[in-house]
Amino acid sequence: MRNLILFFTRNYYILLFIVLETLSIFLVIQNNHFQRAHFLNASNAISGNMYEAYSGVTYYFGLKNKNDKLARENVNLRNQLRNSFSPQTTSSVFVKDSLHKQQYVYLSAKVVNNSTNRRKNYLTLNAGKNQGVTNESAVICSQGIVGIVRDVSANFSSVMSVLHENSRIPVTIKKFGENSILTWNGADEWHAQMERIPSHLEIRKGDTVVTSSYSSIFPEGLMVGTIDEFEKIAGNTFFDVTIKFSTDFNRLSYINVVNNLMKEEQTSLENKNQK
Amino acid sequence: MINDVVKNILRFLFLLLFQVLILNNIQLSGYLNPFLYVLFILMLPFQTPNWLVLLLSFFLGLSVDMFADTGGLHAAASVLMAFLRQPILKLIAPREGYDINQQPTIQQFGFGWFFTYAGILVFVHHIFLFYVEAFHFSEFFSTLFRIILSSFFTLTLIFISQFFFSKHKIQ
Repeated sequence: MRNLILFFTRNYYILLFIVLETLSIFLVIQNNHFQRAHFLNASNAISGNMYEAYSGVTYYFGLKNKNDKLARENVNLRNQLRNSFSPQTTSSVFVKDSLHKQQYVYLSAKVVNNSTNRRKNYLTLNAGKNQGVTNESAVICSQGIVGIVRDVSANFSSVMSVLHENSRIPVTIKKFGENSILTWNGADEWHAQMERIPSHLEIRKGDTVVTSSYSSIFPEGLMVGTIDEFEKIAGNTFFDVTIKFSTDFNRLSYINVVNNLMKEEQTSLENKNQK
Repeated sequence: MINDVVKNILRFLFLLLFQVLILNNIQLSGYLNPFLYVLFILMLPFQTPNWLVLLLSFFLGLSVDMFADTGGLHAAASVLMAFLRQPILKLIAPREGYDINQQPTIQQFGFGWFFTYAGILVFVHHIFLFYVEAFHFSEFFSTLFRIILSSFFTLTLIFISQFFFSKHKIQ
């Protein structure tokens, strides 16, 4: 026993080092899991409130840009208004409203913290459970898609950006309807990769890529980006496609959270079949 | 002594806020990430007990992690750096040893000494940090490039801060 105590007092420095290092590595590994340690999450109270105060200051620097963007979005929306179309026929069509059930609910929120330079990028929003954000909701902005909500606290939520090495978003090329998966290889915040595009398709630079109907999180047909480069892999029947995001991830400010009201029904049905 | 404690607490808070609010927002083509907060570990007085150095580094790293949402990545790198601080100080000690009143600064030991001291520790910290973050060897060289650029940037900031707060003339 005496020797044991002696051993500990003599080597306390190395032992303390090993304990602290193990604890840190454990936290790193824990962070990779889907259920991340809650107390270390950016959506926790201290850092969330501080980031909000900070973004309250820096918010003013980008005001001009944001006004421009909002004005452009207003114009777009106004163009879709009913009274900006003149009736071309005299016959009218009646739509029974009971045929349509609302599937998606949009909420507005502000980004209070954002990163784009890591391999696993997260955003923090100033809306949480109290504002109606639920886990696994889609996050979009006026330019395109942003990410998926991964963690919700009372007034903040943490969003896994599309710029994340584990991000996999079902997308499609609008012109052909070819379904594919969007991944991000971590090289830069402007480009992403598409998997398994058959090489017989005559794709061209600039073709539009939108979200596909296979996603239970994102609504169908949201703008993702345009094809930037493609290359045929030797000995393979697929293209290596790089797309350019329509979203500027460095300038995110006001975004929309999209709750899919029918997601639970869809996923529970799908899970039942897999059993 | 009390004065030293207060000074180090203030330095801890200042470097932490500077890191998470300003430096973490610097994004130059994804390559340059300066981590100036390690200056706190470098500047701890010589008579700080070893276990305290480890614990302080752990909490400093953990605080940065909390804001950057990186689990325990910075904590792990900082603890490793703190662990190596003692052996490296011993390795590059001047012939007469360290005086109890001295601080590990460029003003008291000169440019060469400080460059070896800060250079080795910062480089170790960055190597560990970036390779654990990337976690596969397929991007070995691009990660190495990031490590070298970022270490250079961090060291430049450390030297600037040394001259900025200098009270005495450089030897």
